[in-house]
Amino acid sequence: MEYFNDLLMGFSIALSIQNLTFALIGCILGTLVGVLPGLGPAAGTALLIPLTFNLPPTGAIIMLAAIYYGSQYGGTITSVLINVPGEASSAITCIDGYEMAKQGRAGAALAIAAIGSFVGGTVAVLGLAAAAPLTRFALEFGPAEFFSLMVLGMALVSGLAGKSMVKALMSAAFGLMLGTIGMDPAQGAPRFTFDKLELLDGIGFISVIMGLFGFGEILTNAEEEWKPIVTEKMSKVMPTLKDLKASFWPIIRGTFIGFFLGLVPGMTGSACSFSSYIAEKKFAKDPSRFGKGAIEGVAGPETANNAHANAAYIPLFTLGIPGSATVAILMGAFMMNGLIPGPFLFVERPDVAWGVIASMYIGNVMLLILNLPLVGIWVRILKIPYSILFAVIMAFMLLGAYATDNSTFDIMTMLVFGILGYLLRKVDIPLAPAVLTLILGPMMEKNLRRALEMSQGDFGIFLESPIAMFLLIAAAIFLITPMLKFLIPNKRKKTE
Amino acid sequence: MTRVHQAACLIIFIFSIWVGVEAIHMNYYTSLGPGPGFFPFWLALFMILMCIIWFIQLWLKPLKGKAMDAVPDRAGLLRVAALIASTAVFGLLVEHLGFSLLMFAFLLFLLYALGRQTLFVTLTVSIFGSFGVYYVFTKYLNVHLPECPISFLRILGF
Repeated sequence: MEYFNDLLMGFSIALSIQNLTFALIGCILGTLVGVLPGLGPAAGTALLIPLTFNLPPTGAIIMLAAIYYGSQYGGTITSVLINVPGEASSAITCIDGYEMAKQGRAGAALAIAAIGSFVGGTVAVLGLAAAAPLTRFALEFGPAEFFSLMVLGMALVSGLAGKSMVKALMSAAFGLMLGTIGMDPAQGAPRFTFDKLELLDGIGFISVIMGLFGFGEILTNAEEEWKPIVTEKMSKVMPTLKDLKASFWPIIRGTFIGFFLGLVPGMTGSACSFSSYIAEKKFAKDPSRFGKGAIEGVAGPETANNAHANAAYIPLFTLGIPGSATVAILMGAFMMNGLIPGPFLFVERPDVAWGVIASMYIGNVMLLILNLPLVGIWVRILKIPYSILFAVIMAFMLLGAYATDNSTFDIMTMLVFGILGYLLRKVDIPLAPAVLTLILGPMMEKNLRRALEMSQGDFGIFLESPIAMFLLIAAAIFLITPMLKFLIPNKRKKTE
Repeated sequence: MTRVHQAACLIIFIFSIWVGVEAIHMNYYTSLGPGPGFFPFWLALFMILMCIIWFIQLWLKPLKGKAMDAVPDRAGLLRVAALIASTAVFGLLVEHLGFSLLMFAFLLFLLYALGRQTLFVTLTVSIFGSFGVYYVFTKYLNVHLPECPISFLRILGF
């Protein structure tokens, strides 16, 4: 009952005119981020952080959260209409969505995607509200448990990101190294600051993220000639009764797949939508229809990626562990507003925690209502050539980098990390683990050192606590399993 | 491509050694417990280990493709270089020339020279993207941006 009352309080905050406006702006901007190819949700969210600099903390987080889940809706539009995914998790939608568009059924595909996204997103937010009592359990955690939890989070992220685990671990370690720049969290000694005052507070995460994801992406795109975008024609928007019937079970299955995979830190939206697509193909009476415009191939994945986007907030809100790069950026935005996401947020700032959760219900309704009538506008925006869009994106990135601390140092940081992001892409080093560890690193180090101070340098403290030990064993399993998978087939080959 | 990856591996390896050496110069352990150098030292060691594994992987299973595949064609390379150079110039001059004026010039360059847009489109987007954005962010969002040094434009609020 206590949590129900808290949720009602959240609704009273989220339903204020001011916060509704922030959610609406976030939904529209998020859809725009999703629509624009070459601007992923991570870069988009980082790019739009400057808009929230002077907003109240609750409003700022409501807007940024809406940008993230809004981008999941937007990504579908380009997948269906131009066969180019607006963001990675919508890539699988291209297969059947674009086929439907070629058959003149683009409207039905987009409508089903919007309905599925609404169902998936809303169920995941219900799960988030239901998970709030878990924070009581997390409040019992000490430094050893928190450190172990962060190790597990990182193991999951590294194990799931990219093609190579070694490269993902390198990326994670690089992010942790970046996190050590600035004043040492325990004794205040400067580290890796090169006598620069700007680095004493640590490296600016907004400029790093804008560089790695935004500027790095623009440099990668600049290698190729920018071609004009050709869109398929839109038919009537409303799906038929047959479409709705065919989509019912895929939406239910997509919701569960996206929700449960969203709980796992490091599980990407694209992995969820791909899993859902495979599941739909397996459940289908006639799998040969897939790839030729099967509506189930749109309904399932689109539901799953939105359920994932909303469920990814559960580890953040309950444990303070971001599950993806975009959620890590959001975590950074929380910190910029003087808030620490995690179990303490529900105790210290229940207005923010419950206000943001309630706003997600409202945001999902807004996106459902807004998206279908606005499809025409998004299609028009899509026709703006990339050769204009990139300049506008560059302008916003420079503005955002400068406005963070009113310093040109941040512009230069963005430039350096943009070049680095461009080069790291060339050697297939994933960037998401670095962003996650950049945000988590200082907390991880603080908890490690606190735990070791408590035990007077004895690492046994991590084995004395059953929770810490369990979490570390789980982390080890996640790191070792892929290596075993690599070894077992070799053994088989040898015996054959 | 193997050479490109090996070069990247070597650069990261050297960088990690530098981090490790710097960390040793910090306090590794104090009377209170681990010192400022403790965490970066172990991170550097971990990174060095990963570099060695990566190098062995490349040695056991070389990658397909030529090293030049990683380099874009001449036009692409020019665009990348122009973007990097113009961003650096913006960062160096923005506090001297003001946000709106420099952003206007920056957008003119990006749209006209790199984007090959018509003069009308270039000017329209540049004016809105510089003076318009400056006006909205300073007046309505209370974000401080460097003022224009030209008094006439400054009087107009830019």
